[in-house]
Amino acid sequence: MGLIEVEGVAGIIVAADAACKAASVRLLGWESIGGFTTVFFVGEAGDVAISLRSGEQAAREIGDHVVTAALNRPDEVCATYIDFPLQGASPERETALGILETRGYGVHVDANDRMVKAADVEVSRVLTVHNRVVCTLIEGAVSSVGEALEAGRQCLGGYDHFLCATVISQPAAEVLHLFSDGS
Amino acid sequence: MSNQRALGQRALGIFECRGMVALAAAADAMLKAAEVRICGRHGIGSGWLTLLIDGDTAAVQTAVAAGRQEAAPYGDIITSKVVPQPEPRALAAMPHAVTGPAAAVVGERGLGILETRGLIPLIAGSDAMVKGADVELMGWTYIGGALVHAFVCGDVGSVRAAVEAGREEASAAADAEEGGVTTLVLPQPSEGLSALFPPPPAGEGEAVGALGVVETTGYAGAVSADDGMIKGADIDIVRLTIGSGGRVGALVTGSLDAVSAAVKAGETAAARVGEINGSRVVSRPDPAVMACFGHADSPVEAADPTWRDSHLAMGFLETRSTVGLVTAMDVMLKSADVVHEGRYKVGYFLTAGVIRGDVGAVKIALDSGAAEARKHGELVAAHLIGQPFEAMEVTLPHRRLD
Repeated sequence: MGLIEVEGVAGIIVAADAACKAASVRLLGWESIGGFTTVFFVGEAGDVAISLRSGEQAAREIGDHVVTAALNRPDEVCATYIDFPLQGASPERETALGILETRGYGVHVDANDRMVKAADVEVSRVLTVHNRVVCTLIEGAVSSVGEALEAGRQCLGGYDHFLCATVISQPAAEVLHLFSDGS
Repeated sequence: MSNQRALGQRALGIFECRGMVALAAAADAMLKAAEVRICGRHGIGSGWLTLLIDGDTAAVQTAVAAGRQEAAPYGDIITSKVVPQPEPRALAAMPHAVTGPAAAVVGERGLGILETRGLIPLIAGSDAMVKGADVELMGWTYIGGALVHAFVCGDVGSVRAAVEAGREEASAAADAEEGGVTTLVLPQPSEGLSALFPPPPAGEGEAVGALGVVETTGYAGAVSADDGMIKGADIDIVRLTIGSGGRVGALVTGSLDAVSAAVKAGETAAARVGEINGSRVVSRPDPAVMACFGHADSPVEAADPTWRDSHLAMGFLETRSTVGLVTAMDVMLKSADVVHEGRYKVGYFLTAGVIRGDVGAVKIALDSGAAEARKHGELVAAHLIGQPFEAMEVTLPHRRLD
């Protein structure tokens, strides 16, 4: 079992995507403890090690706080620590995923309004993980998501609590299902 | 014609600040300044609260400006903005919608709010409010960042007297460094304010000799306080109450002497495990305070019936990292003959796991677990309770999750 923990939630979304693409691992779900979030996945030891490295690297591009661990033949209790498990099938769909993360909720109302007005995107999910972190996920064609995020960023110009804006151009189906659909 | 259309344009007003007193002051001012209604609210921890209003553009602009002005003396304003012609697709996925009317209604009465850092000043202040004047305690809640608040209502004179008494008592009970007692009296609160109310008290309150509270940061410390209290004096454990900012209040009742002795024993026990934020003995607490803060949860039986009366030791491992806790739990379960009983999160990065077994086995497991947890993040506590009393066990919230 591989675990990657970050501050906020954007970091585990990009980490989960990188982990799923790097090797043959299965995404299990994520967990939040009010500030830090952790993504869980399983696979053969070698695959988990490769996925952890890729996931960690991706998460470090978002934030400094990244903790990883690999568990060899974990006790079945470990999986019960996942509060948001990946459930059901993850249907493939062609969309890019845009991630906008800040501290503060009010600015997201404004930024989300500007993003959907700026380009043909849908706000698919707004995650609040306490410690003031709010993360909006948008879906659409990769160019639209880029345009929308740019509008979102402009709206936050000068805002002290901006954390990150990033695009995953071809997100893994499991990542979309877990975070964007909220399986 | 174009003028009429402009008048008809809808807008969304956003107001975000830190603390309920600031938010309530803003909300009341907004609702009175122009024809707007509250269409959403959302809290994101650390005391940050957002209110959303809608109305026509000019009304929303007037209201947001009024809210900003009124709230400024009470707390930090994070965001205040007007979004003209909001796009519904942008808002559909957002979690702030206010669903249905709140249960409590103020009616033609005054409203008072007491906001503190930590549960101890809030409980002491709430008792002073209901004893100081004829007011109704409407409920309390936590919003993160150690901030908690309680609402009272009654005729305006009584609310003023109650809030003054509450402020005095809460300030005396508050940690000198922490301070942070804030109050608000709204003589004629807007009807729409009921959207801000905390949940009403559950059931009737009991008349007891005294209420004792030990407040700690983290779960292991609070359970340890409970263990010290129940073993130190003849008291009843009421409950562990999640506070705010990772805090937990251990509440007990009994005679004044017994509760005083228990609180001392509880503090000593908790100090060995974690951070104590304060303690307090409230003599003859008002039944309304007991209803609000001290309602007992239904007892939880052991997950495994063979554990009852078996005197199995309890081991608590608490960290500020899920990676730390999960890897430690894996090591603990593999290192000794122990079983997993449950887990509990009190917020603010804190997460705890609980194991059961013979004292020796739990000790070995905790030692290995603590070493593993330290590799990945902050270890908050690794604590063993040798012979937990069943009267305490059945109140512990980690047994509710499964």
